[in-house]
Parts: sequence; structure tokens; C-alpha cells
Amino acid sequence: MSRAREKTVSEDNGGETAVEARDLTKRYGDRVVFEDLDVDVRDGELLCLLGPSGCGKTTLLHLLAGLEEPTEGGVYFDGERVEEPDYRRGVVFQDPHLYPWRTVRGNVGFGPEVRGEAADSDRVDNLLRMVGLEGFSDAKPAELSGGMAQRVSLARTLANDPEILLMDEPFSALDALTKMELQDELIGLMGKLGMTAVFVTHDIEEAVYLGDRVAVMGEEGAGIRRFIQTAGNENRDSDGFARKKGEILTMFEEENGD
Amino acid sequence: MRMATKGKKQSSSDGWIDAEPEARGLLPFVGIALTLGVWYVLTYFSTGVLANFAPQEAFVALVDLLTNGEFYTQHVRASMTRFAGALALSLVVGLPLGILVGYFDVAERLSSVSFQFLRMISPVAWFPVALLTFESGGHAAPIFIMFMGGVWPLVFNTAHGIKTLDDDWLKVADSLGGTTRTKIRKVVIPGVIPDMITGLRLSIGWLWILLVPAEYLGVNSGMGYFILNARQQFSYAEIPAVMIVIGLIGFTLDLTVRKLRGRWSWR
Repeated sequence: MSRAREKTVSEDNGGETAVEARDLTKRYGDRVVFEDLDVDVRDGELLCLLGPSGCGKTTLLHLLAGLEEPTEGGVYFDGERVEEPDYRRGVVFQDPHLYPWRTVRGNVGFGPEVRGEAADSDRVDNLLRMVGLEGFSDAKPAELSGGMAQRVSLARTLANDPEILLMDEPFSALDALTKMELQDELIGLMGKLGMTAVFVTHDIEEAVYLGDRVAVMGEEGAGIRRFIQTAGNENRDSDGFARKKGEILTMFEEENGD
Repeated sequence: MRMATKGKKQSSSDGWIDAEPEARGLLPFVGIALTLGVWYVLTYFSTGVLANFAPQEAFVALVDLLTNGEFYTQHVRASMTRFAGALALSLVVGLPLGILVGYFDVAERLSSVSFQFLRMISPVAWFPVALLTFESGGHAAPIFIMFMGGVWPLVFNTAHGIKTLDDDWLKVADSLGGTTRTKIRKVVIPGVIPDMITGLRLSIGWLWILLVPAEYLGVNSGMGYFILNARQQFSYAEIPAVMIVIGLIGFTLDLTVRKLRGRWSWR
């Protein structure tokens, strides 16, 4: 809840930009994923990229992360052009992709290790507590449920202390209740850490609930159709929430009706 | 044939073929008894030289060998030293080479034809080269022959393991700031340990099989040498006796590696 209040500072257009994409074009051969796309991710906000499957939202996230290269245009982070992945832009993938030979603790500490530093044991403990897995520190990934594995994956990314968190439908494979639980945990965590994040989803409700802003993407090639300002962590039963959901739904229906 | 067996098995499902769990544990011993039986029958009914290889005489010779210190100090020890040397060399060369070939496309393209070519040459074909290159009577020539067979399973299994490694593990490591060096150390190597162990098991099989021919020439110690020498001394019963020792050691080695494989059971 507190996060929504903190956010008011950066919600006007004067907020600083964490990551920006300029004239971003991505093509695979003749297939155009999007053309001349512009997006600013403002400091401290949670921006949701919402769209149907195949609209290029994951591709856009990978471009922001530096995991893929743009055909034209560029992504800029801290004033520098993004050329490759960087731990300061932490990615949480759709599947947890934990390392099965490592314990939960070993997975969380993996980031610093792979950068050639020793994992800070206190920080790892702290993160495990934050994601509610302090009792599973010695468990192996195979013993975890889907929700627990995704919590480990999130903690692993946070262990690197990234400046921005890029999340690719991290909750899409989870059951509805676990998903809602994790959404609330994420909101709490983001507030506590005061982080900037981009969250890819195809779930309108998830986008409206999590996002401070929602970038609505169209069919493949269309790019971002519109940005919608949302309240961020608004009660799911409120009128405002239902209205935002309805607004986005209508947009999609109109597009399909063309 | 298979149908017939299956039918028979079904019709006697409450018979002794579908044995109780306790009885199933005894089956390997029944198998050993059957093998010994076939051995006995073959030598019993044969005339001429084959009769010299009868199991009852082989076991007498085996007891003699096992109670004879010289057999260990002269032959078993030499064979084990060569085996250990060849295994160490195969590991030291095979594993890094496998990682190189599996991880870097350039290394793979550079080496694949040569390696597949060399692999198909029987290691025994290297004998003249080995005997001319290395000092006679030492360990180097047999170690080289064994190595030429034992290195490939380690190279190919490691490389294949890397090729089939989950790409996402590397993608995650990339996004977390990994470098080529740390990715190899923290993701690739732990990720392919199961394949390395498979390679190790095959390699040990090769090395152990090659040990005997590798000791046929140019040495005067080792179990391979002992077999040929026994023939020249007309001590025929010693030949199957040494074979039993070779089989036992080989079986134990293989069992050990299989146990090791079980400890990496996450895959």
C-alpha cells in the first residue's frame, strides 16, 4: 500500500527514466515484431507490458535486458546503449530455471558467484526470509512447488541487487491462489526495496493490479498501442479496478473487430 | 521367439519364473551357476587341448595364484598401475577437450572430423608406433594404447552433454552477469557431470578391455603378459584363472562408477 503513495512523486512525467527504448525495431527475417517503438520506464515505477501471445512483449523485455539485439534503434540504460546483458538489469524468467544441483541457498547466491564475488551470506538469508523460504535453505529445487521455485528465482535475481527488475510472465504457470499470493508479495517487496520494474503479462487483471502504468500492446507488428495509468495495487473489487479492466478489454475487442 | 517367451511367462505367472522378491535376489547366483555349468560341460565333453581349461582345474590354479605373492607384486600391480595411468591421462586430456569441443563451435568444427576418424582406428593398431616410441618393458607403451581407446568416450560424452545442456541455464547465468569463464565453471561443468560419469564408465570399460592386448607385447609383467606366458609354459589352467581375476576387478570398477552415477541423480 505504501508503495502506491511513494509512487506519486514519479507518476508525473517529470520522473527520471531508468531505461528507455528509442525507435526500437525488431524483425526476424520478414516477420516484423514491432517497428519504431518508444518506451520510457520511469524510476521507481512498475510498468506492465500487456498483450496477447505473440505480440512481442517478451521480445521487448529481452531487448530491454540485452538478451536480444534490436534490428534498428536502441535501448538506453543509465545513459548508455545496451549491448549485452547486465546484472544491474535483473531478469526473472517465466520458468524459474533453477540449477538442480544447487540447494535453494546455493541458487539464491548464484548471481554474485557467477560474477566472481562471494555471495553475501547475510543478504542471502535476508532474501530467503523476504520470500518466505528461510526454512528451505538446504532443499533441492526438485523438492519445491512451482510457487516456491519462482520465489527462489526472484530471490536469486534480487541477490545481485539490480537497479531494475525485468519479469517475463513469472506467475503465469502458477495456480490462481498462488498467483495472487505472489502478486501481493511482489508488491510488498518492490515497495520495501523501492525498485523499478517491468512486468510482462497477458493477464489484464494482473496488469491492472500490479502496474503503476500499463503499456497495452497490439497484435504482432503493432507495438505499444497505449499507455494506461493505473493506481497500482488497487483493490480488485473496487469500481476503479473494474473500470480500468473494462477499458483495456474494450480496446482489445475493438482491435479484433477491425 | 519373444512372443513365445512372453506367453510362457504369462501362463506360469504363479510359477517359479515370476519369483518372489526374496527369490529374485538369488537369480544372479543362479546365473553364475548356469555359466559355470556351461563352462564345465563344454570342457568335459571336449577332447584335446580344450579339456585343459576345465573350471575345477582353473579354480585350483586361481587359489595358487591368489596365495602367491609374486602374482600381485609382479602382475596385478603392474596392470593396475598402467590402468590408473591410462585413466588419469584419459581424464586429464578427455574432459577439458570435451568441454572445449562441446562449448565452442569453432573447436567442434575444427576437431570433429579428425576425432571421429581417429576414434575408428583400433588402438591396437598403434602398437608398432608405441613400441618404437617408448622404452621397452616400461608402462608408457601400454598406457598409450589404452589411452587411445579410453579418451574418446570422455571427450564425446562431455561434449554431447554440453550440447544438450538446458540453454536457459546459460541464459540465466548471462542475465546474472556471468562471463564465459564463470559460466563454464558454475553452469557447464556441474551441469554435465552426469554425462562425464557416463563417459567415465564407458572409458573404464574400454581401458580395462584394452589392458590385456596392451600387455601382450613389449612388456614382461601384467595380467595380459601373464596370459600369453602361461600358454608358453603350458600352464593352461592359469589362463582361465587370470581371466576370473580380470573379470572380477573389471566388474568391481564398473560397479563403483555406477554407484557414483547414482549420487548425481538430479537429472
